[in-house]
Amino acid sequence: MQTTNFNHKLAAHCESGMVTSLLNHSGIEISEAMVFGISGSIFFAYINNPMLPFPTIALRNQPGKIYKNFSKHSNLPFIKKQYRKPVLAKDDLDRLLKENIPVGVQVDFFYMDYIPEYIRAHFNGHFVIVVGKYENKYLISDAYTPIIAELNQDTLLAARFTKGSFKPKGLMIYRNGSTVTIDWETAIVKGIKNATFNMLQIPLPFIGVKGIRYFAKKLPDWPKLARDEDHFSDEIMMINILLEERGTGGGGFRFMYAAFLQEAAKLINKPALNEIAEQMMNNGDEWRLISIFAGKIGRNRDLGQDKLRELGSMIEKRAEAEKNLFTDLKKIIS
Amino acid sequence: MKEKDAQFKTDRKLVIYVEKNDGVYRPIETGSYMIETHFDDFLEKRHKLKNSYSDKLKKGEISPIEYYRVLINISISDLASRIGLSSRKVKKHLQPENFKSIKLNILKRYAEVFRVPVANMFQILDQDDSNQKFEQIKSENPYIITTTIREEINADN
Repeated sequence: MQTTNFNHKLAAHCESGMVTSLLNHSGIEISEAMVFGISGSIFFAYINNPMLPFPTIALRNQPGKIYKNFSKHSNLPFIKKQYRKPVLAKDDLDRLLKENIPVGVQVDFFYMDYIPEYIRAHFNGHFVIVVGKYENKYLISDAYTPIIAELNQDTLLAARFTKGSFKPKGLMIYRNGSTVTIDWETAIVKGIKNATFNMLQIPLPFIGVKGIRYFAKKLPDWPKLARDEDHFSDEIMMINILLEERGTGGGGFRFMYAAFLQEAAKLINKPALNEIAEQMMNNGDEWRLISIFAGKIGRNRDLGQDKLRELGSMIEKRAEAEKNLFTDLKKIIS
Repeated sequence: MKEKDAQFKTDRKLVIYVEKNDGVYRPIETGSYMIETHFDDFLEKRHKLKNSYSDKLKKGEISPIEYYRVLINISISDLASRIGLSSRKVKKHLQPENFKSIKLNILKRYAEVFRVPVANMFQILDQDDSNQKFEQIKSENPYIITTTIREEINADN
């Protein structure tokens, strides 16, 4: 195993973890929660389209928005490149690594061979940092692994040029080393405004607070969409995985957002944000109860309409709570 | 969530944000609740699914495309978009009677998305015996793979 001077850290989420690590490496001290909050990434969407094998929920904005929005809101540039030809993408990456520049890349999660096979799935919105190369292997800093991993160069290249939704087109992101001072107040306010807009004002029934209600309403239809009882059990238990396990920091990103609000309150001297942070933490606890309940009924195959209605009712309550929470948050920063 | 409520001991590590004793919200490294509590159920369902679909495959009720598609849990539209074919065409390929008419270069594209050798479109490697491990090594020829069966010798025997 080769060594590197890159300070690898586990993070709650791959993209916010990648941005945080790239910034920390370039000398900017910032937490993952702050990156997540400034990018305005807290979200909710109920997604049911033919590209998915089953309806699902998204608890953060779409892949690629964290680094883009963070850059926009904090006025801190990243260099971004995409390619038509894989060979050019590989050569550029190798050149940057020779210059000791860590490079964030967008990949298909299914190709990350160092992750246990049972977790891997085709998903083009995964982000890792390539921090070195030796022989035909890249050294990968992945927010989901405790140590730096290795990946065959052909595998990484294939992962950077998959097709389907959110195709990466060889996307690379890196810092050019320029020092920048962040105007914290502006960045935080922009991030919160972005989040409150997404949660309260997007006029689509499946997004934001409306999306949470839509999710609660659609749950009783799920049994009709499943192959059999085991499949339905898996999909119900997936609610738990999406809320807790798949890079959310717990409670469907709500715990991490609470940490952001608490940190922001201190940084820009707005104590009112502390109260919202506490409510957001409690809100995350309630989402966690939902995920535990989903895990339990899925495990026990206790999946009758009464249980789905109970689950739906718990979710519906989150819609009401988040409507109040984000409305109060909007008032504080306007 | 209080820090004391987020203690899970699994090999898989996660970062969860918790309330520390001093009231500050911070990330901690912990294990996975799902793996600690429901992993056996997950593995059992997966095993059942694999067995049930390999039976269907052996009986000729489904094509190998459908077998791998279900096992990796990918939608027909997503698969079609990754292969570069229409969803209608992919739906046809899921039927066992249409499998034989798939061109080899298209089959290779399917195998790449499933991340299996093309050879595995025509065989099931049964690894039920835990002492047997299959190793499949690519050759320079994209259609040829070397499959080695390795016996892991148990020291007690």
